[in-house]
Amino acid sequence: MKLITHNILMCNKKGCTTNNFPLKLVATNWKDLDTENAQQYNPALLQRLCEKIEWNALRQTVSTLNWGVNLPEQLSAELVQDEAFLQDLHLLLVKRQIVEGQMVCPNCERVYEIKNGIPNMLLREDEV
Amino acid sequence: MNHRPEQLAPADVFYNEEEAKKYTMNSRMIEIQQEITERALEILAIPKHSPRLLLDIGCGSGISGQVLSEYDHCWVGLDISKAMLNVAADRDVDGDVIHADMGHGFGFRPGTFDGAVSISALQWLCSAEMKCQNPYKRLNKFFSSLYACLIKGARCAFQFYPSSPEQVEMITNSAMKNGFTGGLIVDYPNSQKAKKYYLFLMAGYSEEIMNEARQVIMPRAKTGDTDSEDDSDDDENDSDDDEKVDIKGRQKSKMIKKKEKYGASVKKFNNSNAKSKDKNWIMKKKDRQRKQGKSVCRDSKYSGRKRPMGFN
Repeated sequence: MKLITHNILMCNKKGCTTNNFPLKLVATNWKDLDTENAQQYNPALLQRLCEKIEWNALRQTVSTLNWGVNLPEQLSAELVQDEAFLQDLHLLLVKRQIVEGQMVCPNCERVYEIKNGIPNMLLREDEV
Repeated sequence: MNHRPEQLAPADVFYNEEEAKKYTMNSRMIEIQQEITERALEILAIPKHSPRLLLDIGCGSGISGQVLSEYDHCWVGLDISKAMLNVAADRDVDGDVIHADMGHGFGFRPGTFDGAVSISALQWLCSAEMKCQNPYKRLNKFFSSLYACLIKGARCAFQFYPSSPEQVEMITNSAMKNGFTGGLIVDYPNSQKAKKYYLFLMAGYSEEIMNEARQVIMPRAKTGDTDSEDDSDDDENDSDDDEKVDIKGRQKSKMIKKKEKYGASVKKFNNSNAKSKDKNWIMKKKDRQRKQGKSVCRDSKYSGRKRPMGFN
């Protein structure tokens, strides 16, 4: 799972409607994809994604992961035009794959496991 | 044999490791899936060189996702079959895949996706796999949460294999109830094999997206006709005439059959049979097959021409 997906996911359990974003992410194993395997760097795409990202949630998540990545407090219009910043963001959002770990809903504490890079968001029938 | 997997077993059971492997190794399957995905992108009408964030519902092993990646889009896919997703992960697809059930609704942040595609998946929603599952409720949940996670005016193209007209109605009704506009596009309606159903949906109205997709407000279905619009009217008239001739011809042959029954000459009947494969007949057959989306040789002065006597 990539961080861009984490930035979109919310807890989907029945009745869990407030304070269900962002899910607390714990990554036990991650890797950076090779350039051939990952989505190619594309400034237009990243600018599009920047419009969609919940910046505070991303900052909060990255700081708990201890990856040594420092993100600016605010996403400004100048930053979005900055080539070096976009390159860093590309690595963080699209290239880095979380292989093993889990996500916990901050509200209902439902645990979603991540295995083989695939988060299991499947709910039991009584949770729908 | 039953050719509809959704009637055999639930998707997560049917697409086990073996089936997932088979599916991804089958080059014909891949080709069809890619073709459908490209058509779906055509329906989405995203302008060139403007990458978007798309949702792929029922992404399976990521065959459709690969096409999306080729067009530089970023995509998130979801599927209920773990085995299929594992294949996708092993193949290192560019997008991200999630294990989830579309009938449970999506837990995505509202207003994120620029569009959605789904290749051969929607029909799975129409069958209940467990006693506690209600297809109508699942469809409702699917469309309502889909509407929520799309941006305003986003377009969706869902290709699916309905097993009956009732199923189509069930799906479209549910979509309309949840605020979508759009309709059903049937490609190659004259062919049993090449016929494909696309559910085209729009989530609300956005000036910007409408302008982008100016020429395809309601995408036209493919029929295999290459003629321009001006010609089509004439063609219709022609075909009407042809039909009339056809009926006459059928009546004639019926009469002849009757005559034969009552002892009329057999010779006459044979003659009418030999006549039927003339140039007109060949042209009509080629036209029919063209409409079915088959590859047909172009018409020239040689098509249907009589051979010199020596060959007869």
